[in-house]
Amino acid sequence: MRRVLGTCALLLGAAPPLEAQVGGQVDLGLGGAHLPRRGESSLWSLAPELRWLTPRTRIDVSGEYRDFGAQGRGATGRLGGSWFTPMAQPVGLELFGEARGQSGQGLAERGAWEVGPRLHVTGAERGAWIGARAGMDAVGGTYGWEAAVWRRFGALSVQILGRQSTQSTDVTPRGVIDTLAPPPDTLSAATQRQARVLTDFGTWLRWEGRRVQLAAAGGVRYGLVQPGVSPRIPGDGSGLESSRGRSSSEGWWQADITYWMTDRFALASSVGRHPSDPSLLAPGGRFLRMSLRASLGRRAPAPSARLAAPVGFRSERLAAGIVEFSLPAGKARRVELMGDFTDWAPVDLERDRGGRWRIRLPAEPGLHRVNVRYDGGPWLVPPGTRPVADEFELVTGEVIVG
Amino acid sequence: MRTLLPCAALLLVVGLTTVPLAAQDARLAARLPTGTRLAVERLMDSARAGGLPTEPLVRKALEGESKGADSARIVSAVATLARYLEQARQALGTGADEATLVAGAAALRAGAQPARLRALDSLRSRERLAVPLSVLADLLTSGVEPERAWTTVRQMATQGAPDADFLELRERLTGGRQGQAPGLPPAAERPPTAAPLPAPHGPSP
Repeated sequence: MRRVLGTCALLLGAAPPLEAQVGGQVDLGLGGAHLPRRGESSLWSLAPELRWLTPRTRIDVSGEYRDFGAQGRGATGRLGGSWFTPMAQPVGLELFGEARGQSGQGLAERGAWEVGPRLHVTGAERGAWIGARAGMDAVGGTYGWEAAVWRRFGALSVQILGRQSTQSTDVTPRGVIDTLAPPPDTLSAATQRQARVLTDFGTWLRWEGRRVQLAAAGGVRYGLVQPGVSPRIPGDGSGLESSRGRSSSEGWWQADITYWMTDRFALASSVGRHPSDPSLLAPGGRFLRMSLRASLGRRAPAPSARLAAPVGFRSERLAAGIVEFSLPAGKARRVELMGDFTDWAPVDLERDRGGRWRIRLPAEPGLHRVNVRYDGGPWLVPPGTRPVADEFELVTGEVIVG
Repeated sequence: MRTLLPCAALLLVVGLTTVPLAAQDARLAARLPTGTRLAVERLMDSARAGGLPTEPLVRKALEGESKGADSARIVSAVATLARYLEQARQALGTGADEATLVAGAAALRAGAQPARLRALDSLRSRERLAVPLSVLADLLTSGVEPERAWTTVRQMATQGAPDADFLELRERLTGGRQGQAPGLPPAAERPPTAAPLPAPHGPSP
């Protein structure tokens, strides 16, 4: 857990790479929760999230502190990262890793991590992947697989995902244990090998409008314990139990609506039922929450307004034949650009008061290629342009000037 | 005077025999090795003779030079571009301007069929073809299904959509949504996280 938090702090404190797109948000929420055998409880929460994107990598750092008043309080954290490499269009490989942890009043510090590859078949509007995972959680080593398909219908996106984790542990078969909760880790001479299989199926829908974002998700989590140990549903007992009493299931769902009042602030509401999480010894429960969301940096707008967003590389026609190119460049002291409209000769950009670097050049409407260089370093693809392999075994950014 | 006339005649003859008929491009002369420059200029001569613009070829050669490519790769890249420009001109006609031909060449290279360039040409005036063709090329390059890319672009062209609408279409079809880098698949979703509270029976020892 401490390592995870340390890594998060390191990432949060470090300067982002120049070609990265950094975004994030902080939610301050009020709401209520219903936890099994605990009843209703009000809560307030603070949830920061940071995203870090480059053409090849994606890093997400998120956390949430929840205060249930007299019931207790605690925090969760998650660090996830992926590195992508194209194989043969449209097939690509992703190597991912994820670490999660929790800590709180009366709650043992628990952590879990997993790593693995995903093989993607990706189009612009649809795709699918299969993946494998291995890792450790509060009980021991786990391994598993996952498969997913996704599709976009304009502003609506859909993802259907199935995943399964298997964990083998030595347990003492006494009494009743939770299928979805980990077995006791106290061993005795009379232990027996037990496999716990956790299977998730879920569907996620997201729709993004100019100011409103809607999301809905639902799924079911199946638990199976083998052999010879009676399972029992954790949480509120709403799951199913087979005739042999060896498997159980637990449904979950969530609905979110977010209204962006400005480019930086939004009201968000979330309601649902989360499943128990055996890897962190956390029970399931229902929740309702209203949040004030602050975006770190201006929110990326909906598609209809995105062209004017000052995110990444941008081209704006000022007059006949004259186009202003601009891009963010972090803490760079010098930014150079070259493209077909500069005869592939470097030209220096100038930094404006807002921190973006700009230059005005003659350029015709149409497709153009461009590279950018920071502080005399290597020529890179400008953030936000489409990276394409050129004829010279390098990568160039493509931009369309309107 | 008697001595000046032969000298002038000699200079004229030397000039005509050593300088190619195509005017030398000062940028190529300044940045390309002689052998590479001559090979590129031969390609430019052929293009010019065929009624193609030579500026895209010059820029392609300069791109190769700026990226440290060797002579063979530069000449090959220029020759390939010349071929696509020629195909684009055949599809779009002799009236197509340079930007339109460049965009048409990019669309052809991305897999568009020449007949569709002709169809698009018949739907929009040539002055307004560069952006639609660029968007078509970009959609194909980014993996949008060819039929869907073509159908969408054609419909917008039929409706007389402005260039900004084509650019927005490109954004909509090729990603760039919040939290998603263009070209990357979406992140794997997860069930909502559990509340960080002790389990009813407390944590395991």
